[in-house]
Amino acid sequence: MIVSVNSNNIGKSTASFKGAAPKTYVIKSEKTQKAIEWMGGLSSPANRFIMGVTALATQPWIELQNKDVDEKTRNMSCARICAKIIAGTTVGVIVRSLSIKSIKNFTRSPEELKKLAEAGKKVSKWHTALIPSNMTPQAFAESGKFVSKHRNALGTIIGVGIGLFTNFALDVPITNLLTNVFVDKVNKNDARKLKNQSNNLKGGN
Amino acid sequence: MSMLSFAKKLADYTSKTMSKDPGKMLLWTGTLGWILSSAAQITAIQLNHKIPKDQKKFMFPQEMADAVINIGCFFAITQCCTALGKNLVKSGKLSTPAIRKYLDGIKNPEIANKIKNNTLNIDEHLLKLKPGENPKVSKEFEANYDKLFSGVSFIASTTGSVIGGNLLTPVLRNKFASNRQKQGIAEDKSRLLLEAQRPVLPMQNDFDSKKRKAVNPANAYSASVYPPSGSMKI
Repeated sequence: MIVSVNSNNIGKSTASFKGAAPKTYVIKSEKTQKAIEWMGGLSSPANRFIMGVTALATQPWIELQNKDVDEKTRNMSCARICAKIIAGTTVGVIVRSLSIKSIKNFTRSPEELKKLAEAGKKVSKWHTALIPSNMTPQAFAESGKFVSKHRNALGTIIGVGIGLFTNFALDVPITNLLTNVFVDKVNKNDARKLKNQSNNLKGGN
Repeated sequence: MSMLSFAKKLADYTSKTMSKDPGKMLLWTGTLGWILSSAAQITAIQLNHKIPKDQKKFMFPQEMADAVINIGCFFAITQCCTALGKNLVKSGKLSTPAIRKYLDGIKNPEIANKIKNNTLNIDEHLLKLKPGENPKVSKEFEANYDKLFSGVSFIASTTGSVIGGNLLTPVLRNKFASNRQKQGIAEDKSRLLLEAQRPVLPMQNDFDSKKRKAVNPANAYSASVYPPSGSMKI
């Protein structure tokens, strides 16, 4: 059975489910096809950003719903998790993006090497060091989307390695700084609430 | 091994394993990221001289357990989602009209049978065919398949990461942390009860308040000091 999938009928499958799921789905909508193609070109910074945004949408809520701890702990926990997500996502996206960009310097095409030489710069083996050994720089440059995919993959691997240092050097201090800012805000809110409550009580008397 | 040959080996390994498959790359680098992040947290505790040794004894296994939950949950869910997405595309079950048209037009009885029986693996049965072998795989088909495969691989992997890392992990971690806290408080109460039954010497009074905190480090580092801070990788 063939079921066509497009933006109009996603979730409204016309297939009959007699003990088994339909065997084939064909994505007919051009918009959906283009969206999938576009996502195929995204890499780890985008993945990290999506992770961060969805984390910011879900995790503070999960922390606030944790009835196993008291309200103060819940607020503290929520402040800390928000700080951790913002710091982690910002540093993660920047490190991965820069790392992927820097890989370009080690996977130069013959044209780029020529330009470098013309500009009077020294061309070394390092300029093609991260091109797979079964490919010449020319073949690599002509391999279409593989170029960006290879750069993305290598950049992400190196970015993760760099993350080991940035975890200590950047994430931890930024997380602590933001946590203090958020906790101060929570405390100020609590103090204001208490003041309002005591004012109401006085007014009531 | 020189730095240059190490770089070449890294490039070869990456091109063979991850360059063509964004989902696989995101899964493994994500998991590696979690492992390194957990290692950093554990090392930070071990190197922190302000934390007393007996408290480290408690915090070390706690961080280790956290790491196992974080890494295990992220890997398992992301792996399942990525494998599911990729298999749908590889088997031809999820396709675009161009891919479907090509698959339906295959005359080779062996391959046609595989399509009919849902046992086709496009990577194995079509893309590894040598030129001249039947059926002929066009560049257009390869490009269309690659676009769909990369896109679905990224979507599946990211969806898995979000479900595993942002939804399941914090819930499991909070459950684990609160159970651990309750267990610590219960142990502490029973020890304090035992101590209360012993006769107290006059010189011991000042010492007692410090000792109570040290009885179970879980209380010294209870939720108010180290609240369950979710599972976001830093």
